[in-house]
Amino acid sequence: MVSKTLTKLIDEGVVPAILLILAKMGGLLFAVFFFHLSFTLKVGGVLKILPTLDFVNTQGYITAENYSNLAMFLTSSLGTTFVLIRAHFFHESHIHPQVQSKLHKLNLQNIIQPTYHLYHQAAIWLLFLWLTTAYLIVSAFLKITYVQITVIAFIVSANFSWLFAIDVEKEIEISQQK
Amino acid sequence: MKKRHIFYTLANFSAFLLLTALIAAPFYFAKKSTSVAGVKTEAAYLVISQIEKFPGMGFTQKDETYSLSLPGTADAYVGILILTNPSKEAKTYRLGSENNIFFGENLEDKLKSVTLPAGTSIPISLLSNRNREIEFKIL
Repeated sequence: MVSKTLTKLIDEGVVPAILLILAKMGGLLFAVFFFHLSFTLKVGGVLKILPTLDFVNTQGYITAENYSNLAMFLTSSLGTTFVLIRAHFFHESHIHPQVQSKLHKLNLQNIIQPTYHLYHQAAIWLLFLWLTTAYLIVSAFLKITYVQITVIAFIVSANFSWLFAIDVEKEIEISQQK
Repeated sequence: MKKRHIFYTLANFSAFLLLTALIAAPFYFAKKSTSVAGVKTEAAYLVISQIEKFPGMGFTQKDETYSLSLPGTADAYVGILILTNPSKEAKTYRLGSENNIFFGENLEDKLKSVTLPAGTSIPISLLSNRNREIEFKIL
């Protein structure tokens, strides 16, 4: 049989991958409509499914790239934030009893997740976050993305990784106490 | 038992490939979703035809030779083509032709050679003579 971890990672990876593609498309549309950029739309330009935009000039291309890359980064950051909040405050292994009873009263116990689910989700979101940051770094070197965005992305990714590491440490401590 | 082991290995390898494809997909799309028209060209220049302004005029290219067929015997055809320097540096262009074809739109100053800064354009015009077929090269 296929490894449980691989199956779980594939399962958790579908939604973030779709969200990142939608974010890129949304960022492009935002830039095109708000900055009135001239472009040609090619239907089926990527893998004969997804559309591509050919910009008339380099400035338009850079503006669209910056906003769409920023949208991708914000999406991966929001996803990671959501998972980190769940890992720190709604983690089955160390949820505060008062929070747990409140959630039960509100019939929201589904928010509480076990380590297995949370860590696979966190691994996927952090991977996407770091890959987005790497993409921004390469773009910045190619003078497409503004350096400021890339620096902020790196700082955010590093801090999110650190926050995740804190939760992993807590989890290790709990498992050693058992 | 051995068959089963090979099946497990193949299944896990396929799952790993699927996961890699899934993770790479958004970045592949991000890379391919935008481009700049004309930037990828390594041509020394870009020629944009404006002959629709002159009804009946024809414009063809064979190898490096451009041909214009004129509709009548007008005195001048201003801005028939637009030449663009697509590179990131200034370039000098020369018109190779015995005819009255020149850079710019000034009939008093018919430029046969011009230096264009990066990303800039210049019109190409023609002062007519008896020839209805004009051939020229951009050097």
